[in-house]
Amino acid sequence: MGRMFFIGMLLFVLTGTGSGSGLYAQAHSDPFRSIEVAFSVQSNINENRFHEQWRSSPGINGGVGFPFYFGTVELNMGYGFFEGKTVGIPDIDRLQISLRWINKTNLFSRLKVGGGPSLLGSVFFFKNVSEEQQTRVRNLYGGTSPETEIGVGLQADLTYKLSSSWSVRAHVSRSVIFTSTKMKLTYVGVGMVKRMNLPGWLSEVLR
Amino acid sequence: MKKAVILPILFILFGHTGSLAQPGRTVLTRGELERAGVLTLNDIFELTGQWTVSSVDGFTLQYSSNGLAGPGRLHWPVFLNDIPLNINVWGTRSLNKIPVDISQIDSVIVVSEPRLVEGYSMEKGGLFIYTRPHGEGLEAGGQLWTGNRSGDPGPFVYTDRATPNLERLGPIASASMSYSAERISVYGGVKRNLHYVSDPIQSGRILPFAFGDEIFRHPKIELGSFYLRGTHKGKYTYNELQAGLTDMDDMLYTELYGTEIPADTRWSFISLNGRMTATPETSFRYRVSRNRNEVIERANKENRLLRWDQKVITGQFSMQNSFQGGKNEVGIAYNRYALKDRIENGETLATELFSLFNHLHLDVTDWLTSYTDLMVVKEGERRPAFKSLLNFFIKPAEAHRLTVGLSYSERLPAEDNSLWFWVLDKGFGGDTLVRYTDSGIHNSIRLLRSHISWRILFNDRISLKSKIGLSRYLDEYGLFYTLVTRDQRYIETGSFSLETNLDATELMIPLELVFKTTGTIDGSVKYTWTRLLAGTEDLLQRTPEHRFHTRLNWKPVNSFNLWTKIHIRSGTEWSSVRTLDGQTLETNYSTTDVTYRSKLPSTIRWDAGFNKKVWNERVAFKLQVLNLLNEKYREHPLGPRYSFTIFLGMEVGFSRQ
Repeated sequence: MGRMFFIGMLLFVLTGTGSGSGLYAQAHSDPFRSIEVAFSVQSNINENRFHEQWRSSPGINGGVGFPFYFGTVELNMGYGFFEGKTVGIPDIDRLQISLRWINKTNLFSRLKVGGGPSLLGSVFFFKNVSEEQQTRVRNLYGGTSPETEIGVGLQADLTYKLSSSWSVRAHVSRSVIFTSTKMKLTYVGVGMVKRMNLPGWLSEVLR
Repeated sequence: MKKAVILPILFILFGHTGSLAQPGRTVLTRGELERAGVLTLNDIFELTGQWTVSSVDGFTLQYSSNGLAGPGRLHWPVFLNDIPLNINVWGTRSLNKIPVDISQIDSVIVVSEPRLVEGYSMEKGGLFIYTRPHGEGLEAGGQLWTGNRSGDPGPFVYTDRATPNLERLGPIASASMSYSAERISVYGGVKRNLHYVSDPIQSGRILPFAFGDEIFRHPKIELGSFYLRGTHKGKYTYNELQAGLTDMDDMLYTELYGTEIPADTRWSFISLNGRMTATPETSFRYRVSRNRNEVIERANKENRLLRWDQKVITGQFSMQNSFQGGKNEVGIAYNRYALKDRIENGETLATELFSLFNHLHLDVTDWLTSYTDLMVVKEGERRPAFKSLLNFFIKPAEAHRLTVGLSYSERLPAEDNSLWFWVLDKGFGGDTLVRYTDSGIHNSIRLLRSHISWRILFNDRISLKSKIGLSRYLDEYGLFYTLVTRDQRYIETGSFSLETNLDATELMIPLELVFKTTGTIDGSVKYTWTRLLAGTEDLLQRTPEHRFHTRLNWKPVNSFNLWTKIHIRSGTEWSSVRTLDGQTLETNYSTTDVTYRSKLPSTIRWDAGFNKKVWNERVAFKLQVLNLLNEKYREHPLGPRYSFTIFLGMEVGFSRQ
């Protein structure tokens, strides 16, 4: 069911975020001509098996985006904190890096809606781990280094243009991290976006 | 008029065997490999549609078949810049030993029909790898890949849901430097691969015994290699010197023991080859090479024998004559295999093979070309083995290409250079190994192969190729064994026998559609149907009956391309694992399934990725997402379970004239 939802959503955004404009409407003849720097705060809103053991706190997210050959590509980094609910469940700092492709379309002159899939990597840093737990994990895995996991995600966002370079953006995202017990997390967030033109030489290098 | 007469004759000649054919080789350029998301040499075979590859450890090929392979499956040569590489050891072949990686390759040719090339018989196919030519001046480059596989415990590592760590893949790295002037060029390259053996089905059975008392929780295969190539171009001559060395900390799986044995392996080669033009119509070619292949087992509680120290010397000399309407090549070849028997008294066992071959290419008419290959191989007192191959390439109309081929080849046991030739014929291992079988390999192994293929060019952008190939194996040999578990911790061979004089008949029908649009999109759809018509069932059950492969590439600009491919194959059955069916392996993880299954279900794999070049194509960033649907599948009942995987890569290349 989850897989079909993802495939369905993917087809939805690829075919034009429901607007009927399609991929070709998003074709850029001048990719990497500008950069968008975004920052937002976000909150985890869903509950599942993972949340039986951890309580989530608000997190932050930041990234850069470039007009691509079609749509926009974004490189994002997010930070979140999860507190263990019971004794023996360590707290977690989570650092997430994601590569996202987004297809955007104008709803009104100042309002844009966008959506697209992402690939993500999460690094989990554990805190408040007892000596006994460390020994057990060391015996099983040969060490207690942070865990690095991969996953996929989908995001939809709404961007309102305040000026030629500033916008405000609200987003909702769903990610699945392919751990042995899958982590499915839904976030909502709001933040600001600053758009700038790239120097010609840098634009040329990136192309 | 001539066409009307000759075509029916060809069909009468070959039609009665029910066999039909195709040109028999697939050329894959560097661009095609890049567009198809090929990461390692092992991935190449997937693109041909006809080869099947599976691996016990996800790193070393344990079984491969192009439908020609059948029982003596490893009898297909591998060449690097036309030099044969002897990389087989103990019934396994690791293409990773070849000291170049994908980024250093210009093109590969996969031979899928019987041919005689370079004085070598390719009755079961073969692989040619050509490294990249270098522009004048100084060039340097490198590539680095690292990957992550899903299925780790993640945050659950400190809970009762802890599972094994599977994530580490790579790094796969290489670097090279070259200098070229008008007449000379020098190239040097290094390669390093690291492969963690992390899947519990494999690591679980290795750990209890493999390393003696040493505490070793992350078994891994580590590889380092070095490659050197120098060329000299004269007015009438061309000479090339190559050398390479690969050193591996390996987990060598052999069917004899039914499990992996930790071993240090070292393979090296040096070669010299070239050609001389005597007259505009006549030229001479020569080749000499020396390979050394060593295996030294590491400490293991079971003290299993795995030693191997082999030197192979090859030489070839041929004369090529061009004449109006064709050309002919006649030559001699020499191979000397020497294996040191360290088990008994350290004697060196040796055998020599002498070959005489002729290759005739005739342009009979402007629509008919024939290729006739003849070869005779002699070893010691044995009766010589004869190989004869006949191929016709026909162009009945502008948009049609027809290929008809018929081959009969005999193969001497020594040509295989297999473990069992040395054990049974030369006494390698003495009583330690010979007890596994009481039969010898005395006869030549025979293969009768016929094929016909038809290619239709609908226009310059779409073509369809269909083929029917029939293979008849006679007097083949095969290994029959069963596996059992011990202490629910590791597996070993229960019974083992080598059987000779086996027959089998196999039918293969591949179909291939290749297309491209106005320049930005290209792709292919391939389907192969394989069926064992008669003979020993066990021999070919491991080949999927249905294989489907499709690839699509979008390249809007030179600096960016996006590709995707889908690979579907039907289920396989592995008789040697039947005795393990349903048995579970004890691990430290309560939630991990390590139950053995002899039947593998059909699988579907969807991969996608992109290459983005920046800085005038000096730097390329690459991403590969494998198994997007996160299907959990194995290619081999004893092998790792594949799941959603991401590979990140970077390639750099600089030049100075």
